Amino acid sequence: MCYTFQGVGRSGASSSVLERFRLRASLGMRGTGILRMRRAYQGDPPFGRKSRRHVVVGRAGLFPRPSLALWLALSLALALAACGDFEAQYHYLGQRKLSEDPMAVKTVFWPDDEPVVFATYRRSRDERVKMYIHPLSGSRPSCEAGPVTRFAAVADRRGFRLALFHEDEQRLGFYDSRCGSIEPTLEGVRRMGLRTSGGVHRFIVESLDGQLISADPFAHEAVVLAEGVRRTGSGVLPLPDGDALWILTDRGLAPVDLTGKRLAAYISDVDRFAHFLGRDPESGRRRALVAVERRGRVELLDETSVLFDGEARTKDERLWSQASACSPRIEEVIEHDLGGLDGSADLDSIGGLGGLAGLSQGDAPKPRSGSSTVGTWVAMFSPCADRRLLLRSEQGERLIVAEGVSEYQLLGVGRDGRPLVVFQVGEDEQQGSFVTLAGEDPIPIDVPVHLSTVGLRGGLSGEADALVLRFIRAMLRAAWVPGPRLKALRSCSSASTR
Amino acid sequence: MLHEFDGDVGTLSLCIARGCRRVATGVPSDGFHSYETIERVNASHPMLAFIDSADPERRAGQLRVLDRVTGSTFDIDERVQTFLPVELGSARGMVYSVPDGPRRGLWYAPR
Repeated sequence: MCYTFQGVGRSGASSSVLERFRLRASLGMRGTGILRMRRAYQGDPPFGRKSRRHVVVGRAGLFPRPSLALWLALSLALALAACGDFEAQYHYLGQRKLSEDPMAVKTVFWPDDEPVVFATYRRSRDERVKMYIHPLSGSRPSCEAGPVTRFAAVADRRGFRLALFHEDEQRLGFYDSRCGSIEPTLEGVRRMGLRTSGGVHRFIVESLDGQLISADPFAHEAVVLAEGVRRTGSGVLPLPDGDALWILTDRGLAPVDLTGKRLAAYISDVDRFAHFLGRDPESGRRRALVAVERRGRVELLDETSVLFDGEARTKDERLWSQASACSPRIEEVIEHDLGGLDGSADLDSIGGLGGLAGLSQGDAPKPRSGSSTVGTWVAMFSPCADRRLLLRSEQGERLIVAEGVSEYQLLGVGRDGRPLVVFQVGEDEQQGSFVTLAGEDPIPIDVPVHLSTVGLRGGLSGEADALVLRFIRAMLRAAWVPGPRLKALRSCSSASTR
Repeated sequence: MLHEFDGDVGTLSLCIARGCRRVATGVPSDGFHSYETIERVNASHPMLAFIDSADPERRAGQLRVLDRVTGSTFDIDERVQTFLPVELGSARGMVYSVPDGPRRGLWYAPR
């Protein structure tokens, strides 16, 4: 026995839309259903005339009687609840093949209101790796770009751009969301980083011939910031966000703004330096600080090359040389450094992991200092103060986690608003204890772990905030893996013992 | 947390405040993601997706999802090598790759 229902559809809509009817069957039931059936139509045909409403009459054949229908619904609900597998019936059905090629899924990004998948594929050993974009909604075609060894997706208020780097050819190219090549293209690239200033992304490139270049793929321009840049390291440029950049050239160390204008005189005899991002305690303005080591002394300077603290010279010298006696000032700088280095960038490596959320193996995203997200904690790792790990909330709460910490990973925020952090005590990775802090109490992890084999994923806290934070970061900043801040801190530590 | 890692695969344990419990073995180093499905505003559902019993050489195995609320586990596909959960606006599902076999390719499973 079948009952007749009627619903209202709209011509020109997809069949899936037409199949969604608010039912009002003669059996007196109301509800919204997704029905798949063979339909019989009255009146105008449903397709062919846009926006013409029509009445659809079909035969559902679902419920013989109201009481039996109710009984069946209850039985079905009980059966699903009993087997505990309701989610399995609900989730991840209807797989759709995006490509015949089994590409490695690298990251998912959402520019231009349309989620896209970035995947890479190597067809053979001889063929170069390319990067593919697959829109999930299918509203535009897939595209490919390359060859590439590293790539990143960047979005800001000006749109969406791709940066593809090929290591062997030392070439950095930029592409739009349809994989179309755009200017500039930079050759002879030795290393690079991403810089964010005022919500605008720029790529800072160090070339093989000693130029430091600011590349803006949105404005299609590249500006030479400095020449004769001394090689200070390898890998990714550590670049805190801000309006100024300290550059070490053959003439010395000087702060330069992002148009190439030098802001202060050169400082000579610099042995090494490290960027910090500070915040003026009075105005709250972000300041590009630099710790300079020269002639056996360490100085802390702001972008005008003035000592950040009038007493910093002697204090720093003493404190940096005595690891056990760090001042609150130094710890404050280190804290800002932790927040600032979050803005530094590392290109997503094909051999590595996806970089949308800043997630990589063993390096979950760490909240930034100054974030407005409620419940955000900032990790403060002081190599000067007995390798102390502290957590500080935006509300000013400070939580001393442990001393003698050799490694840590701040995972996020738990449902109770408390930080989740995993850390290791002791320099010996084989013998150090491995502890997680969830809520108030440290919990020893009673499994045989070696630090290099421990993988952690952001969102382990099970907190929606983490996801939202990740998404906001992805939208506002870039699809990068955060810089290796622990390495930076270790170099600070090594400087202190020299 | 992935531990007992032999260089190819390891044991995946889920650690919460009360301790850790083993979820799967034979999990590649990049073979798990903890995430949340967002059903509506202020309502989310913690999930853990992972590759179970992976072939150490190909690092491909059964893609499974653990519902951390109900504790139920269900399968998505076999011979999966890489995957990412997607929870972006209207796009909610799983993107994954199958390197060989009859289902070879890049797949999207909407949730």
